[in-house]
Amino acid sequence: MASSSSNLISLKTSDGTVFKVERALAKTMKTVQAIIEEADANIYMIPIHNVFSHHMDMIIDYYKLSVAGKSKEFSVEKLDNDELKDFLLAVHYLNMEDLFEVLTQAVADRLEKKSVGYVRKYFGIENDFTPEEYAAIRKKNDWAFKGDDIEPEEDEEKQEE
Amino acid sequence: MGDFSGPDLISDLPQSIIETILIQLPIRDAVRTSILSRKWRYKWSTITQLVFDEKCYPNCHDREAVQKSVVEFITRLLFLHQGPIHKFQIVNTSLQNCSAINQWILFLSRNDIKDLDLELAEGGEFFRMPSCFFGCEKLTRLELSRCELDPPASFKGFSCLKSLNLHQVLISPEAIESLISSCPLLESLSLSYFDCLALTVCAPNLKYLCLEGEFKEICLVDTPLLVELSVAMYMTDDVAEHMEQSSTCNFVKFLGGVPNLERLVGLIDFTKYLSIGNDLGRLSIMYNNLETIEMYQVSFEDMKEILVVLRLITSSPNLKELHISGSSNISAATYAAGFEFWERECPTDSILSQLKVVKLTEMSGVPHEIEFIKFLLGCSPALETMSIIPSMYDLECQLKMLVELMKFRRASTKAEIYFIRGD
Repeated sequence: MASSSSNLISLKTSDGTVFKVERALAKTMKTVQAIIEEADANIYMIPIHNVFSHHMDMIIDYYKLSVAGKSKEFSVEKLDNDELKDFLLAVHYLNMEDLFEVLTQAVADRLEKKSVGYVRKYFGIENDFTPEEYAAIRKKNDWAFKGDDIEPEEDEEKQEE
Repeated sequence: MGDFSGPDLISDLPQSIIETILIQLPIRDAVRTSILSRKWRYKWSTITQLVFDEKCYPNCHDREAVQKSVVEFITRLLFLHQGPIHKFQIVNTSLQNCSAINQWILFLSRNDIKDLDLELAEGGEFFRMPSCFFGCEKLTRLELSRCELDPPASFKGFSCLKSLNLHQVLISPEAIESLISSCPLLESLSLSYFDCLALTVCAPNLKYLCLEGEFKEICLVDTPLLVELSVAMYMTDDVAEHMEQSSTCNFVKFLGGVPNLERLVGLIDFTKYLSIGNDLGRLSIMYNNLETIEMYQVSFEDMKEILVVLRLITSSPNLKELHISGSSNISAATYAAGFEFWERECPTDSILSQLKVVKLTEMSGVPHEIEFIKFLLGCSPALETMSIIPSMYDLECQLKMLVELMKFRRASTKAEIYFIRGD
């Protein structure tokens, strides 16, 4: 197996920055690992599409924390939904299992127990149901809406406009 | 009209990502995404993992209402679900036995179920698994609590099953043995709350075994790959008496075929069980991978039990961590005999070269406990810490014990001894 002379792999992000990362970190990126394994000769630089340098910064942060056994300290709270979504797509592209689960859990946490109106607004989802459709589905799935720990549906009055 | 601000950030993510997100939401929230928008209407319905836990039922004290609500929720959900269901779990709910569960199992058996975890609440009847359950050919993991299993004669086992966990499950001894031996890929087995079971385990791929309950007898036949073993065994008095009369050596019958063992945990009457039967002298088997031994409720007034512990320790050259908990009662005037036992069984050249950590709890200070500590300190050149936690509160007794311990030669210059008194 051809191996590079050093233990660092060079990754080039979409915005042109080159990151030299440890082999162990590159191994957690299954996409990158596949590229390395398929290459016959030494690879000098691996381009990673859809991944920007600010994503790599966070990936490296997460890696450092998880190596130190502190992966629970990693937080994406400061990212807004747009940034979180982009990061999630980048990590999905790189096929990094652990970090992917952390990010999908972060998205799930932002959705949990929130009212439908809140979720729509927060993620920019357009309600394209007609009022009749909405009422019908709501009624049909009524069994899923019982529970006093869920925020009330604020936008249900608006449906009657 | 729409009161959305900015572009839709989430609806166009690949379905695989959406599913991963939905699986990490409590199931009720996942279903509620159906009214977000047209695109979202059925996104929840193809998720392959369904987990029903304490988050999915109303916070209310009326047990019947809760039961009704949970049953309705699960039934409706399954009815609207589309596609395969790989994981189905009902845990930490107050779900009692009811006929609806039969339909759920039937539905799952037709939808490629792989991981099934059904834990019913205390206090109700056990649920008898329907015959369609035995047709779940793709099952890889099964956990049941408070159920009844009665496999039909035609049942040939679960050919893909890797993990089996039965807790308070009614099943005949023949059926459980047959179930274990007919699942060739079984790697992890846990049986708890069993009564009066005589069990022979035949599982060539088994790595992890956990047994808890009242066993009459346990035999491990053909478990060469076993790596972790934990046994909490109750022996009623009449069983113990009956066993004393037999001459087969339980130690060998039980631990004779597990050379790859890495971790051994024994609780309650386990040491006593192993001590029954003829002593076959030094073991021919060596446990080269055994790094952790934990034995609880060891009676240091029973020479045979001490011998079991010693045999284990001296047959494990790579032992790193030892935890022994005693159960001796200190009688008023203890004159212990049998000190020649130690000279005989612990040759001065025995070395526990890798032993680093020793924890001794429930130490009542009986003479043989003291001798045991002396043995450990004298034979472990790599020892780093030894913690001793006495079981008695009497200061005088504790002091007496400490004075004895101080005398002992330590093979390790690094050894730190902690005598931990509960205050």
